[in-house]
Amino acid sequence: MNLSACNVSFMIKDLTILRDIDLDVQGGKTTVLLGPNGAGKSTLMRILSGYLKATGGEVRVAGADPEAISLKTRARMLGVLTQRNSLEFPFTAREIIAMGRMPFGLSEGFDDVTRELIDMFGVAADQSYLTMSGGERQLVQLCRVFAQVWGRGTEAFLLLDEPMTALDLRHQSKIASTLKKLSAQGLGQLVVMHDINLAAELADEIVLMSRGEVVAKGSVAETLKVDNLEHTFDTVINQLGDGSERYFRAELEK
Amino acid sequence: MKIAALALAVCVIAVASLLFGSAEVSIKDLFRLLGHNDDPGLSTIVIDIRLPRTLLALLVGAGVSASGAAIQGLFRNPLADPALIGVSAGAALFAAIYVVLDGSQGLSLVGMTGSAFVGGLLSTWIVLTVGGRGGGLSTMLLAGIAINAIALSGVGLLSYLSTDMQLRSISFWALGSLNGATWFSVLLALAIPVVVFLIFLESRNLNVITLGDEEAEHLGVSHKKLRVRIVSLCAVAVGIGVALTGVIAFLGLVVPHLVRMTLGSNHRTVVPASALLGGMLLLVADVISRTVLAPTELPVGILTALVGGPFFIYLIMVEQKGRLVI
Repeated sequence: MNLSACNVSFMIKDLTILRDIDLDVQGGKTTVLLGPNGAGKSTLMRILSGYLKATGGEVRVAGADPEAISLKTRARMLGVLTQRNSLEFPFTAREIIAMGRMPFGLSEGFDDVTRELIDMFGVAADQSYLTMSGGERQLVQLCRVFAQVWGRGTEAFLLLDEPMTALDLRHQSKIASTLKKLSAQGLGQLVVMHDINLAAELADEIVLMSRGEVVAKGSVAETLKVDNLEHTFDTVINQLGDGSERYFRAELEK
Repeated sequence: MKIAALALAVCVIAVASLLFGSAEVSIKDLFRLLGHNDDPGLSTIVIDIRLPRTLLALLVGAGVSASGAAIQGLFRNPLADPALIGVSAGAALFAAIYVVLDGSQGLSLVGMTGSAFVGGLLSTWIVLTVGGRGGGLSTMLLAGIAINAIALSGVGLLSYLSTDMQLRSISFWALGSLNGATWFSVLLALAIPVVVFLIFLESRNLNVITLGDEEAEHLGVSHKKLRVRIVSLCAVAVGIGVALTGVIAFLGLVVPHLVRMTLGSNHRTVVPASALLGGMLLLVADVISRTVLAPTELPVGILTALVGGPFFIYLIMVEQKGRLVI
């Protein structure tokens, strides 16, 4: 299934958060949103996920208005990871991951998908969430969202807002390869991240955003250029290497 | 399994509670009541006084505690109290209005209970309406605080205007007591287990809402609709309890907390276990309150606050210590 935004704008009173955003992510493709803090990436995610209503333009989830789709049906179509992490109750990791199975009427934590994810990511299933580190919590939340779209292939879509936050290198690489595997199964993905080099690795399409607008959009080769990145992030960017070996980093301020 | 053990404990304590009070009743007497009983005094004490009182304690304790569990889940705060939705304060205000407006000396149970119940629902409705406009939980929380303050100042004003007799009624009611339990009040309280069951049916939704409003929506649960359902159910459960017994402090706050510490956070366990433990603890508190100063009685609300308050402070300290270790 695909997810699209046509001319989407979002305003809070007189403040423009997003202006004329066009986006189309097809099933099996991964689009990565890159941009500085406050660029409007998370707001765009919230609009595409149906949680916020755009003040202008149109959003389509599998060709339909997200508001016209019932919450239950939408939950079976979209797996969404937000940046918030406000859980204050000592649920176990298994219980939280199993919440991702709720749209399918399975939430007791002993279904095959929950088990598979727990084993796959080596999650301490019976440990209390409150005793976990930031990275471990992030992994549990990611597993919960994966549980929602696992095995759904072309029937679902994944929206991830900064999935690699707080994860160590091993888990980042594990998550990245899982995203690639899911993409190969036909799952469309829209991912917000800050790691340009990881984005280059994962994305079929990159969207550079700044101040609520799209600065550049296209393939990795088309968009990830020093001048584009400097313009987007408003800082000096260095490129090391060339072609598939190239690597970007921000120059330290003197 | 643990819930079954808790249910068994409730039954044992319920039977035991029939033995305690200012008049002595033995286990043998209870068996006599089951068979041929030739002592009308015994029958009055056990069947007409202690049994309805025991049942009322179990039902009201269950309602307040299960509501506490649901409100804590809904507010995503393990330290939330059902009083946050304004139900207790609204009930107290309307009970006070009834006491002051009703000129007669003997207050009718129906009048007092009815007006307290209406007051509880009305104040909750205002909190929901105001909170719903802002959309966020914090707006509702602030609305609850405001309604609590307004209602309690209303009680203060009525207390100031009331006669000595009326003042005594108002304050005594606010302290909470199971002294007035009758079979009629038990009959009214039978709505509580129905409401607790309805709250139990929302357990999975309550689990998901603890992740956050947005996260719940992405899992297919509308936080706005769930909020209305949970707050309304809790208003009825707590409203009936408060209307029949007055304000029972701390139970709705401490009991679910205690359950979570021992049985985990899944509301499918927390809601029924809180209902059972809450009923049991209120019953134990009531037995103590009617025996400790016998033949006079200590209002049970004083006891629950007196024991519950320090215990709650202890829980907070233990929890903070646990977090520091992490």
